Amino acid sequence: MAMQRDSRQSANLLPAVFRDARILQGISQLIFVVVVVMVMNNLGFRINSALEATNQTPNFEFLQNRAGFDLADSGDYTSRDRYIDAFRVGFINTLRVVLLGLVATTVIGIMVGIFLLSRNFLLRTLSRSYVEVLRNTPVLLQIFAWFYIVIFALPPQQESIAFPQEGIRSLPLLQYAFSLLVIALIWQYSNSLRRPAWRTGVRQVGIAIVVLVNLLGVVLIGAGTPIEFLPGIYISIKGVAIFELIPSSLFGVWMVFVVIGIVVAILLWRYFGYITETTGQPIAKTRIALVALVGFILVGWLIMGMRPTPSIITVYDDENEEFVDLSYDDAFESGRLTIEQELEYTRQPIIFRPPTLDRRGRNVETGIEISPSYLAVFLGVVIYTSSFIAEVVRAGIQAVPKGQLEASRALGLSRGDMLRLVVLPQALRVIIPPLGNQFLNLSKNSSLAIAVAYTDIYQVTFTIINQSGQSVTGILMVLLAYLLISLCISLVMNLVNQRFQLVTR
Amino acid sequence: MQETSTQVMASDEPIITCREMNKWFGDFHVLRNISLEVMPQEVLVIIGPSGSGKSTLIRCINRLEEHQDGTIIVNGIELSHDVQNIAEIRRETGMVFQQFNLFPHLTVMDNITLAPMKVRHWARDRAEQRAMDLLERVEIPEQAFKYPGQLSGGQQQRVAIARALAMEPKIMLFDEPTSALDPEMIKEVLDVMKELARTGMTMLVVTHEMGFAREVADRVIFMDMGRIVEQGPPENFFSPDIVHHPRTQEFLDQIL
Repeated sequence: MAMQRDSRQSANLLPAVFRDARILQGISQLIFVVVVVMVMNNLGFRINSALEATNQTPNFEFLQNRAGFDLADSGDYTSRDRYIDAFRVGFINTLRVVLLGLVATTVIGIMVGIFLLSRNFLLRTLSRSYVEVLRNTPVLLQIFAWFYIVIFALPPQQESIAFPQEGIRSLPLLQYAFSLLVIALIWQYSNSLRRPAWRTGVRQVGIAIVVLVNLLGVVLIGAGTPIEFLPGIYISIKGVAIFELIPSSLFGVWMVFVVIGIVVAILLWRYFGYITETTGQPIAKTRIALVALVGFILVGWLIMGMRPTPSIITVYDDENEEFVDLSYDDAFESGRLTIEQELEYTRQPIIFRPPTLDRRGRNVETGIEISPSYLAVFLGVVIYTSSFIAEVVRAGIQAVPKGQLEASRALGLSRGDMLRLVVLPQALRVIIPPLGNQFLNLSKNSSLAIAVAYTDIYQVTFTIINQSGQSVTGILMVLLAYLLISLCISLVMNLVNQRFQLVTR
Repeated sequence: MQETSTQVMASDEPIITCREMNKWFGDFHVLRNISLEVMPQEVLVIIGPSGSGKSTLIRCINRLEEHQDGTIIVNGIELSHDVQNIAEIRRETGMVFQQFNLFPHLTVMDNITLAPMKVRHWARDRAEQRAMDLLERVEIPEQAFKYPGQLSGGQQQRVAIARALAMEPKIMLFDEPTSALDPEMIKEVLDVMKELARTGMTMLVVTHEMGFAREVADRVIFMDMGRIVEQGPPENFFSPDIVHHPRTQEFLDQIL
């Protein structure tokens, strides 16, 4: 008893204010902030004075100076542009890796993640090996590996691997699209037939007729003239060259059809959803909406194809070195149309333009060029990250308790409904936070581009710093750029995450 | 009183028939030569020590477990690998689990209406009407728009019963429905089950609640080591005058 009183008295030596937990916490936080500010201030002062001594005071004015260096993968940029332009090239190049990379890695990761749980032995083992090999080796090494595969394993540009090999002569593209639409309609119609025998009969006969028409090479009226596909993709030591799709003068009008198609599809989807809700009658609303959408797009294309082309068009004849007047189709066939003329007078809303090399066979003249450096970085970070995402997805699916599956089965839910309505919502809850981490990892790992000289923001800024000596400003700008990208990703992932939170007491 | 006691229920066909059913988990022989007939509207209580195969038996009836030998016929349909048969049987059998297994991401209402809308293709109005009726019946209509995580264990189990009943099943399977509950909550769940039995539902109940068995069961089955050791009406089963199989006697001595 006495001892207790003693201890109380000794504690009372401190005034009551300094025994209040809240005040104590406040004081300790204050001290911490003061210390941090002092240290930072001191460091900043020292750096500043050190740089002043060598006449390199950090500033942003230097960004307006001429850069004076060339960059690969830089579009219209030349060495005569300013530092800030070079910086912009780097930022865009980083975004090219990150944005496309996020999409690609998610798709691959989810696929492999599902394969990891497959009952098929081969699929399971292959995907397991994929994950184990890729996530257990450094990403830098993988980027180098991809780079050397491109450099050493691929042929020089003159002997590019072409795809399709020699090009393909084929019926009009539109005809294939129509054939698919007709098959979809036949399928939809056959579903409404009661007798199974009739159902399969209608399907088989219908599809057989469509296939036969195409095999015989019968060109339907309005589907256009048969076309020749030139190889659309070239792969060589210089990277990959891919065909371009260029919107023509008809593109805008065609887009009206596309937009109307989207609106109609959404309305149909909603309407049939409402019908299902109120009557209980099951309707394949997604399929109906898709057929409507594709239908609108194709009909739009068909109507565009009916535009009259000029009967006479002046083109330049290379061989005789003179201008000649031809009909549009003849000019097109002879390949003498300029791209501007083709875009102006074509019957197609979108023009397919295969990659071609210039006369010396060195540089890609038309088409989209993808450099080996970009490929290496892109493949490196995408494939590496996808192996982690695969594990995240697998773990998320397995985290759904077995009881949930049993309850769904006991209620008689179909496998698809069970996955869509019970497993997926609960798995996503577990998957999304670590998925966001992997997205951040990908965006930050893209800075390893410097290893294969891909001109991403880090590499470009490094060059800028070397040239201008503005290290503090440069580093700050890279930091801010990565921060911006990462915060955007975090923001989106947090918003998504909120949607999947469980309500508990 | 050992062996098969033929439950006399007029000329009615049995709604569940198991013949010479066997099941193994790996090398472990869980169910040995189970033969069983359940009549419509019968309430069957299955008791026995843990690991005796009682849960596995009722889980075989709606194909949550696959039997490897023998036949099971439910509601006139034989259980095989035919997925259509399995789906049909599952539509007609409701199941209540020890761990409730409510869907945590859906409200109580959505938990109950999900299967009727997706499997029976009911309109939402009808499914919701039915759900409210059932929630009244299990006495928690005010919880309809809460999430399972916001309910007590007893309330969750009552929602689980309502969810199974929403499909208007012919048979209800109960797999230790009160084993995960606090003592106070056991009563509220048992009351719901008693009421259900009075309405003439065919029920197979795996439980340790002997009071329930005595009061509600038409027939009690004692299982041990994967076998049906003994079965009979509860008044015989729990009567001290009856000479039991020694294994049954041992079990009853421990729990009564």
